[in-house]
Amino acid sequence: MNPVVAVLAGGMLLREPLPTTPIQLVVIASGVLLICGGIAQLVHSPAVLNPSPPPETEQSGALRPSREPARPERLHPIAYEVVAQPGQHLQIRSHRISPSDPALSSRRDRQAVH
Amino acid sequence: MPIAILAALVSAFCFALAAALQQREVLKVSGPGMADPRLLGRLGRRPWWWAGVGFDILSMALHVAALSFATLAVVQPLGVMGIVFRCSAGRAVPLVALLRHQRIRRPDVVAVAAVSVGLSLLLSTLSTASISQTFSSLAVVVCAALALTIMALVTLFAHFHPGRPRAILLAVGAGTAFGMTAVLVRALLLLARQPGTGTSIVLVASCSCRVPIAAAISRPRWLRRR
Repeated sequence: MNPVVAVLAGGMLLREPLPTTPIQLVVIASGVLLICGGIAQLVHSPAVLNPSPPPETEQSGALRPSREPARPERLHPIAYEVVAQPGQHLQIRSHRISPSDPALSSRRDRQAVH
Repeated sequence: MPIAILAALVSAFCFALAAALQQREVLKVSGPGMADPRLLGRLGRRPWWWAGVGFDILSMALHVAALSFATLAVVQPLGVMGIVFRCSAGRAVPLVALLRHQRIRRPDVVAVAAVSVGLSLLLSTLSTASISQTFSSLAVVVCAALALTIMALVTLFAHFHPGRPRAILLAVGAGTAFGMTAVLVRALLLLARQPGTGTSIVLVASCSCRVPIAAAISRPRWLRRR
């Protein structure tokens, strides 16, 4: 709006010369199209749209915008088992727990896993 | 002519920097709505807001200097580079890449090149000849009044259309005000070169002051709405 208003008003009020020939008008229209297209591309740039710092970058350095909304993740209960064998270090094993797991001793534990 | 182009480009950069600083401060201020005068009061206590005002003044000074050397058709289109420098959220594309350790995206490079080529086409076609002619001061005043009316209507419509339409309407009003300000400043500069135009100078100066004030009032509003 700023350049358009200024150039038109300058032509009308201050009698500054305006382009009149068809070739000039075509060239100006092409220039305006290029400018508008460039600005439209710039304002849709993901680097510009995201005001906060990017959470992660890929190896190439380009930012990949996430278009899908974040989904809530269900956490699975995990049981830890300490295994001790003679002559070896202690081992800690983990596995998911299901409600029917025999390791769950009480009804309350099974409800908690649900 | 090269001095005018250089001054216009530096002016665009200062304007972009000022807008970036002011937008950052406006977004940090919470509480008052856009029509609340306390918003300006809170902004007045933030030093970076005043830094933005300083860059605004520097930008205006350079803009006036550019207008004294070249026509509106040369100086005003170069102001578009301010959008390239600023680009939406107050971050220049190369600056974003530098700060975030990212490579500049190819579409962004193409976009900046397209804007530069478009500006070159405009500069090569629009007349750069500075013609000093007499003009009616009354016509200038009428035109300034028309610009103020457009701004008032746009602000009124924006009040009833929240969201994106409001941002666009307020930006249109601000763009009209800035364009008209440039015309008035150019008129003032042309009048100053002619002897015996004291009354006209005062008249045009009066209008030149009013339009930027209206633009300054509308600016925090549309910055906040973005």
